[in-house]
Formats: sequence, structure tokens, C-alpha cells
Amino acid sequence: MIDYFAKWANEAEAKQDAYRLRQYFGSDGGTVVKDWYLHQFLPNVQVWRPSQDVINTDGTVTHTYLAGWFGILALDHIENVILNDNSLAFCLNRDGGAGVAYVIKNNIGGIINDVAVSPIFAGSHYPLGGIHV
Amino acid sequence: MGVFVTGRQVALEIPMPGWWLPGASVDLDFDSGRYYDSSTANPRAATDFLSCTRASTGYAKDSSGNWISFGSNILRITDLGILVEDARTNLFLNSQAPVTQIITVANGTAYTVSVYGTASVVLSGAGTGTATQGTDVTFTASTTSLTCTVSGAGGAFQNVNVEAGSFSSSPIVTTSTSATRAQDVVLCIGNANTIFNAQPMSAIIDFKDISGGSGLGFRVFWPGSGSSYAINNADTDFDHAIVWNPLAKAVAGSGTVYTGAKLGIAQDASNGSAVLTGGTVITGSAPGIMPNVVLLTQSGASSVTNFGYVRRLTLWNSKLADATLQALTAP
Repeated sequence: MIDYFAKWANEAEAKQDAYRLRQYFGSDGGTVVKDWYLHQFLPNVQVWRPSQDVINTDGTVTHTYLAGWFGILALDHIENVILNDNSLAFCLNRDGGAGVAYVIKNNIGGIINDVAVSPIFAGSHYPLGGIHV
Repeated sequence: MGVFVTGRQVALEIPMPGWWLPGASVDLDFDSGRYYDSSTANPRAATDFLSCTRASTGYAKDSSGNWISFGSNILRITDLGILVEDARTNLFLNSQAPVTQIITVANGTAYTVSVYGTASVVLSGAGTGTATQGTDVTFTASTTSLTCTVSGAGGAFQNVNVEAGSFSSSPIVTTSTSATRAQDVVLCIGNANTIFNAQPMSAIIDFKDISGGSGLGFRVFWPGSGSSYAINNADTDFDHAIVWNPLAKAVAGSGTVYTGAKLGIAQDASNGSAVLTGGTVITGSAPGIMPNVVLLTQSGASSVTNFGYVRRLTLWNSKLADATLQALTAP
């Protein structure tokens, strides 16, 4: 499965912008995405940089979440129109390994080695950077 | 029938009655794992008639109580049927090796904690109670911090789910971050889609709601356009009326979708009928054909949440009589 990590300023902007690609992201609301396609899109994902984590005295960890609104689109193939869209932050192959690259496209540079996300799709596997799952 | 003599043995080849319902064009018996299509050689596979889109792995239980893992986009078929669920997120980390942890939850939101294995999970903070296998705990969060104190973890299959919702769903395996089981979209394809997308046709579906009474409508046959059929249990007395759009027909059914029900429909270009578990037949005129039918759930419909099993789906390329529909859907 190919996971496309997308970023917008907020959900309202996401629903407006993703309307262009609504066949992937969600149902037709006229000028916006009405409802996200929850069988292949994971909305409202939290993203943080583990290097900025604070470990509290009680052992809990406080993350500093990155600004913006994030979501993960998962398809069983590489879709160039998504890959080349301005909303794409990075794209990973969850079935990577054994000579197959995990990173398909990276628009965030070296930060990809210091980024963590929650939630992810069950069964995802990204042993890289901050995404040690 | 033929008689064959092989050496000193005599064998009779006697055509056996088919297991499929009389006259069926397609019969998909998920419980028993057997699939029939009158138009071609048999047996067939479930994937000849249904596709599944689910961007995550998922589990489904069999009749022995074993949880079986399925990969992304794979129909979750066991001897209980096809499991169909909406998306859920498990907030409990390392769910299959459970240890005590503090979870951030949304104040005022309902959550359910479910356990498989020998672990006992004592809740404090945002909710209270003790969850063990077979004893879920549902609570409305009173703060944003939920402490889950785990003891006695072990067992051949162990998992802890902490998920938003008023009832538990199948296990969602997490590691170091929370994980989401994506929604199942089970779409009729191949000859199943061909039959739904033409008239005359008939269909009977044997299904079961496992939400335990979510109070939400249960969309049984939901096509891209044309007629659609749902079970309306939004009225809290659970009389399970059939809602047939766009004809806006509704009538109280006699079954209960929580213990299992059968919905039968039959239509041609002029007239249609629908019946739930042998109850009253509702009829209407000019029903629409139903291309791209989705079973039990609708993609992207945030207002509708369906969790259930499809145990059997039978299709005819003819319009069954009302009495036949009643008989075949009888409890």
C-alpha cells in the first residue's frame, strides 16, 4: 500500500482543496469534499518532531504538534496526480524493505528523519526517522 | 444419471440437488465458504462477486472464537460471514503486549475499552471500571486523561482496544503509535453487479448488526444511484422499518437486525417489493436499477455507521413473487 501524507492549513481548506481530487479523498459536496472516504483516507492526523518531545516528571511525554491539518491517503498503487499535488508532504511505501524503498517522494527534506505521526493505518510499517512503527 | 462399471465395482452418478436456493443466478454463502454462479463453471470465489476497499489490516472472529488477521483490501470472511465495520482508532499503544499507560482522550466523548487475553485493565481518570475479556467498559470521558492500569496480561491472543464509540469493534493492533482500522467498503462486482444493475432482479441478504443498538440507520443495499434499501433503526424502539428510496416507502418489519435478519427485494421496471424477515411486503412502482451496490455501509457517509456480518447473499435475474420473498426471508 502507498501512503500519501498530505498537509493543509486546516480542515476547511483541506475540504476545499481536495475537491479537485475528490475521487480519491471524499464525496462530492458541490464545491468541497463533503465526507472523507474513511476506507482510504485518514483525516486529522497529528504530526510532531520527536526531537522536540518533553519527558515529564511522571514519565509521560509531551509532543509539540506541528501547525497545520494532516491526513493520510492510502492507495494500492502510485498515483502521479497525488504524488505531484501541492498538498503532498511525503509519500511512503508501507510494504518497503528488502531492497524496496520506503520513501517514494519527500517534499519536506531532512525533517522526514525527525517526524512522527498518529494515528496511522493499522498494519503500516515505516522503520525510518521518527516513524518507528 | 449414469451407471459406470469399473472392474468389479458399480458406481452410480446421481445428480445431487444444489445447495444454492432454487433458481438463483448467484448464491454467495459466506458462512460455508461456497459460491455459485449459474452462468459459468463452479465453484467460484467470493472475490468474483465482491471487492473490498480497506486501507488497513483488520481482524475477524470465527465461530470458534479465534481472531484471524486480514491484509489491506481483503474481504474479512470467516465461518460467521463477511465482517463489515466502520473506521475506528485504537488509542492504546502496544496493544498486543499491554502495559499500564496514560491515554489522552476527548472530554465528553464516549469510549469503549475491550480486552482479549487474560489481562485486566482498571480505568481511572477520564473513566472508571475494569475491562476484561468479555466485559467491555463504555464511559463518557470526564477529563482528557485516562489511566489504564494493566495486570495479568497474557494469553494466546491478547489485545486491548481503547476506541471512541459506544460499543467495541474488532481488535486494532497498535505498536508505538495509535492505529486506525479503515472503513470496509464491500462493493458488488462481476455478475453480482450485473444483476443489481438490471431488471427484473431479486435479492435476499442474510445479515446481522453487531453494533448492539447504535440507533443509526443500517444501509443494506446502497447503490451509486437508483433504488436503495436501508433498515431504519433510528427510532429507538428498534422496529426496523425498511426505508426504500427514492420511493420513500417504509413499513415496520418483524425481525431484529441484532440477532440476524433477512431482507428480500424483488423488482422489475414497473414494480418492486421488499420484505424483512418474512414480515409485511411493501410495494412500489418504477424502482430504479442499482449499479455499484455497497453492502451494509456507505463510503464517506459520516452519518451512517454500520458494523455487521453478511452471512449470505442470493441474487436472481428474475422478479420473485411476494409470497416467495416472504417464505425465503422467514426467520
